[in-house]
Amino acid sequence: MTLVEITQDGKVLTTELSAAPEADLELGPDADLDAVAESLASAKQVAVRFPAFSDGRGYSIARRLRNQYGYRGRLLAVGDVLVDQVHLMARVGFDAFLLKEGQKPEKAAQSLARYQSVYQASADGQRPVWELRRRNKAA
Amino acid sequence: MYRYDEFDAAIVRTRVEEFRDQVERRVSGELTEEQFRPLRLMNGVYLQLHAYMLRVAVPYGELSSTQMRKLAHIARTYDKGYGHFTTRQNIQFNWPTLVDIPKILDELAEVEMHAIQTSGNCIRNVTSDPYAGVAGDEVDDPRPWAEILRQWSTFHPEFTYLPRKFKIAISGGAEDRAAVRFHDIGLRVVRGEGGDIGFRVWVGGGMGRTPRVGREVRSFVPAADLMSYLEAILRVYNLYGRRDNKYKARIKILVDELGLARFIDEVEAEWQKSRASATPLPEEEIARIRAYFAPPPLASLQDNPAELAAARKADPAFDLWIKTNVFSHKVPGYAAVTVSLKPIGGIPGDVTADQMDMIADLADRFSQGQLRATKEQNLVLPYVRQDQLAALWRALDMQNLATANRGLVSDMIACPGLDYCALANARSIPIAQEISNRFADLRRQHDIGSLSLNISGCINACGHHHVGNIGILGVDKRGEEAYQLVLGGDAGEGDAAIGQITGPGFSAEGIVDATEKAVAVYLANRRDADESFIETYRRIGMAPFKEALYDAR
Ligand code: SF4
Repeated sequence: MTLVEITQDGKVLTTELSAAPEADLELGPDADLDAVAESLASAKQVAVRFPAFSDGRGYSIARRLRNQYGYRGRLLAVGDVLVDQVHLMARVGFDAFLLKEGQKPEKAAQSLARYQSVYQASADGQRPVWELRRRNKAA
Repeated sequence: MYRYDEFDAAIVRTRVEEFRDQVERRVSGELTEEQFRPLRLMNGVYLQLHAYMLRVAVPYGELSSTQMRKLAHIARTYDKGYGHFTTRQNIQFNWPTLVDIPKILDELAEVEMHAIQTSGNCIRNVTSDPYAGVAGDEVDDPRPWAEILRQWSTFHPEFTYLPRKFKIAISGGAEDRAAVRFHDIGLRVVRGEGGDIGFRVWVGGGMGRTPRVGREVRSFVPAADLMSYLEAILRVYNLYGRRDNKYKARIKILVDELGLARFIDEVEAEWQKSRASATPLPEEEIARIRAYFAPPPLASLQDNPAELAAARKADPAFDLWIKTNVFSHKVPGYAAVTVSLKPIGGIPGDVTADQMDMIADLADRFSQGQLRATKEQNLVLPYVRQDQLAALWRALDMQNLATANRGLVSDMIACPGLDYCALANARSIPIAQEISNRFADLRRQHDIGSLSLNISGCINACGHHHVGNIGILGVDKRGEEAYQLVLGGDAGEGDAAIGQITGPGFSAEGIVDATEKAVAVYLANRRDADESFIETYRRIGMAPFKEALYDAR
């Protein structure tokens, strides 16, 4: 299986693994975050499972973990993780992706690098265009 | 109208490249159809009965003459020479091939257009009032807010795999002309106690098999908080909306199941948690976007010029057209003109490439190069001088685009139905054409007066039959096409209502007769010519209609 990671300095790393990486906590799409708030505080690696790529609950879970629970550790997407979704996952706060069997890691890297500009502030710290516009004008 | 800056242009170009790559991977087999399906849908590509269909966004209905010419070119080059305007202010092409679609998207990007999120389980194209910036009753022009929502919703990372599609409408007038209570989120621009701009918000309206009138969730959201508030609604929906049954997956069902009070509590709690970390849109960005919607330079004129009065007197057909197809403008001496895409016996919303080119030319000549698409599947020229109305009318008439029927019985909304749609139970278009022919006499239509007639080919209600004063719904009756008649629907916010079924269904011929009978009951019962069909229906109720429709059978 293939793990794609975004490093602290924004590089994309690909590693072939023989077993899934161990997570301190694995959350399903219906996870109750208040119930696990305590273990979150000490967790270094949290996995969020996508039972199907079309099930988008994991995106909101990630957003809450990052923006409301202050989780700073590694956030790993597992399950039906396809290369066409990883850039969206990165924007809501995931920084590691265990790709579904057969997905090409180079496509995941491409997906992550594709959009230079975005319209929303989210959990990835990328500046939305309305902030850049303001800066352009000031410059 | 809004113009792309380098960021907007780059985002749309990037999307075209991404989609081109996805199409190539589908063609090579790297992507399964199951995996490709949501990707193509999010870019407006449907698989219909006979071919692919591409739905192109016309954000909040605004269109320039240059864009219209491009649409004509696409219809001619990649399709069979026509396009179809939809009830969500978009345009559809019914016959493109999959491999041509990236090329079409390139062409669209040249004129600042795209097909992003015109389908799929994501936030769809935001719709609005076709008379925005024109109507005299506006609290505020809704278009800058609609454009802000367009940008915010484009590739929103958190809300691209929602339980189901998500539609937002916004209107800014004292009268609601965007059917805000029949959307997942409906917004009206309002002023707060201090006179500041904000939004009144309804959630969970919609049609389909479970029609619902949207329920108010907040009477005032300050403008600066609009996005964080909408995100709170969407987050609650994304997390708790049903995903086990696609017929129960819309937000209206979540509101039903939680109950309105609890739904509101959830949204408020979420908003309180997320609002603090949200950056409100800066004032200067709002001002930047607003500036694009400043009115064009218009002459200073008087209302009702002598030329207009003389032309109305001289030609009764022109006079009839003025009565229905002209909307009064807030700027004296100007008018907003409806270009009817409902010729008698025609296909509602269809327009040929030649007509598109002609309409673009007329927009340049008479309306500052600007156009609007309406949810009634017509087009509007928003800035026409009243002293040029007669010249415009003659030019439109030559193209069969001057039918004097806006808001009348032949100004029907109809979905594509069984002629195109894989989900249909019955045909919609031939029924619309038959009814239109039956009421061909325009004088009779004017006598009948204001009446909305909406036709859907199945319970998904793309033809808005629930909110037609008269609605027609295609059903399957043991393998045969059949039609139910629905009365009393109304799309406007103040009087929003879902129509009631009259009783047993009708055959394809029978439904046309039944429609005529319903109109006859109205004519026989109205107090006077000023009482409209819906007003009479509200006063006398369903019983007299039922009697006329069924008792004599
Ligand atoms: S209402 Fe039904 S038949 Fe008509 S377009 Fe929608 S899905 Fe197709």
